[in-house]
Amino acid sequence: MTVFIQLGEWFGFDGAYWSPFIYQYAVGLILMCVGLWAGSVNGVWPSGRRAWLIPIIGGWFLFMAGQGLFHHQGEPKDSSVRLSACQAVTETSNVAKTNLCVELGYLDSSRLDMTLDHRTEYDDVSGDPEDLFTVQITKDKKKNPVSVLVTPTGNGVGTAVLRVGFSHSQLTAEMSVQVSNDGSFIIAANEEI
Amino acid sequence: METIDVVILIGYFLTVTMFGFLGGRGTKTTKEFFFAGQRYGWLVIGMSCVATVVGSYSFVKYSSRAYEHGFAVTQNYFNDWMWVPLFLGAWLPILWMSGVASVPEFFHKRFGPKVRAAVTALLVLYMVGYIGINFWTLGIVLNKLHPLVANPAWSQFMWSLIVAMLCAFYVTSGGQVSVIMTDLFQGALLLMAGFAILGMGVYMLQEHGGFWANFSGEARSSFSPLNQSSPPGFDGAGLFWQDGMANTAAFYFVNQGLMMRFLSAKNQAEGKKALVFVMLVLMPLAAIAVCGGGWIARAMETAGIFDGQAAGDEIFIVITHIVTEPGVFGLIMAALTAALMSTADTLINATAAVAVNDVWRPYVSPGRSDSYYLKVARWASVGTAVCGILLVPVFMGFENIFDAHGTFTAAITPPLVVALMLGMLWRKYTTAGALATLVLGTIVILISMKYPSLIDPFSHGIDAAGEGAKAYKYIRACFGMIVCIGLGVIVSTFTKKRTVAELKNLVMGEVEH
Repeated sequence: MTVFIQLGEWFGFDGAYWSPFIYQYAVGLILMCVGLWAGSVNGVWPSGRRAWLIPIIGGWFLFMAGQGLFHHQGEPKDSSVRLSACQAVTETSNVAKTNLCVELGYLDSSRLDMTLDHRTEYDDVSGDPEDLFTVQITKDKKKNPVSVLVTPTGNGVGTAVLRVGFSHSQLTAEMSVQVSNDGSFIIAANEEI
Repeated sequence: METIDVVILIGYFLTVTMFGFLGGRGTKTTKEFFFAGQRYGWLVIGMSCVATVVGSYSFVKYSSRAYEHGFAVTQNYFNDWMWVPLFLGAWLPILWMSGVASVPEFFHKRFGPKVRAAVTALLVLYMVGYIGINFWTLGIVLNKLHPLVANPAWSQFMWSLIVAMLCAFYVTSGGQVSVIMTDLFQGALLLMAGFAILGMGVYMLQEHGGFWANFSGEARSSFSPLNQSSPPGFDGAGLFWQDGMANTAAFYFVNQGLMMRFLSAKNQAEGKKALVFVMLVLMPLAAIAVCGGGWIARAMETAGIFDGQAAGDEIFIVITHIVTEPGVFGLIMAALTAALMSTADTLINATAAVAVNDVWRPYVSPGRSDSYYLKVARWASVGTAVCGILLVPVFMGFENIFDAHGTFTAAITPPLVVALMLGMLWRKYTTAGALATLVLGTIVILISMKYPSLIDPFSHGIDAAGEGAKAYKYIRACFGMIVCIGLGVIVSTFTKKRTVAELKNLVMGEVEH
């Protein structure tokens, strides 16, 4: 955990989609203020020359509005995470299959498969107190996930909850995993709102 | 490449070289060679700055990243605005009122000869490195179009050498006048070329649902995630510190080439107007121009027109091939060449200025005639081009141009930027403090390349993603700047301050109105 991440957590925007936007404009505002102050001390914009401040401050708002508008366009839509059981796909790698699918929806109705995205965080602990199942993630040499597999642990039967979150967004979703007597299990899809 | 493309490309090379040569043939003094006689208005200065700021690597590397990360790549251009007030309010008045001709000269007046020597060494390394990146980029592009030998690395190097020779030829003859005249022409050409690719791509996508529909979801975000991007290696925090803080500040404040361009304006007000025009109007346009190829590639992949098989740095060329007809393709490649030559010529001229004004004139051979220094400046231009070429093999060791450039600037620029900012804004910043910032700061950054774990506390949670110098490529700038500020402040607290009289026109609050 780094100093900056801790600071981010204190201010409540760690992992939030808008955090890079806030970060840039907060630090940028400090630089702007220092520059305006320096210009004032150096007599660059005395009362007769304040027109210089119009493009400077106006430009700042213009960039903020433009970047904000596009950033909003690319934001994952609220409650748009879709979790479902996938048909097992045989891979050429050592691990044979991926049986869970995660999709993220966007404002323009497009969807992105996030199952093997390194920003997807699988939580198989908080909703599974009896340790009925586990999520096995296999990664390649560059640490990119190549397979995500839900498997029963053999510790018993029952129903537990799998939670999924993302490092770049605060959206989350959960689904139930039902493990039965013979070791087989059912993954129930979450309901998209 | 069709014959007509080759003819256009060669014709362009010759035209620009002759344009620069003829434009600068009246150059008789070092003032003309370096500052073009201080006679230009804001529009000429502004337009020529675009060609300087946008290098050939810009088209290639930003298209590559725009293809992977969509609009998020514009954050590298759209973060310039925050430096506008500091440039206008502090740096430009100091430059004009103190009468300095180079960045090292400012440091000499502000801190003395030792600091000037340290700054000169770092500055030359920074500018020659930039030149090397540009030469290598065009080597990659021209090798893709027409390999000279079977070995791609050798072919890239040979192309880089040819371009370097052409650049050195006209800069050597005409200096800053040649640079401004060629950059004015090339700035307009490269903006037109970028928009032409975007326009033709959008037109082609109309039959497939349109550009916007195919440029969907995450591609529209104007920032990459703060500490985890997909694919990795493009994290918002790292980019902010490497590009927004260190590189932008270095480019506008420390870059001798840009400084000389603004000093070529006929007065301070024209320089201010040029800066506002560049940062608030031309840079956003340039961002769209250099990223357009990558955005089109991404939309075309979604639409099924582009198979996505091209390697990162080749995206721009492949997409240009898809959307253009023979002849236009040659013109676009000429624009790419324009971008290279205009950035490299500025830096070659600037490095020559530093070599003459900060090394030769004060230390090697003082008190000689102006015509003698003009001759030295011309030889220095040739020497700079040669040094740029020698750095090309070093950059070839990186995966792509974006990484090579980012790693280089994140390592080199923090000490220079911090020393200049503190020197310009803080009266109590001492000579010992500046030396600590420049020398110790550079040493600590070099140590962090050997032991990247030093950067861990500043990493914002970004994965090191590599070893040695390749670890923490971008966020190293954050570490470097904080370390340099710390060293400067601590040492200055305990060392002797300069008097107010010594700081006249050199620091905020002491500038004559």
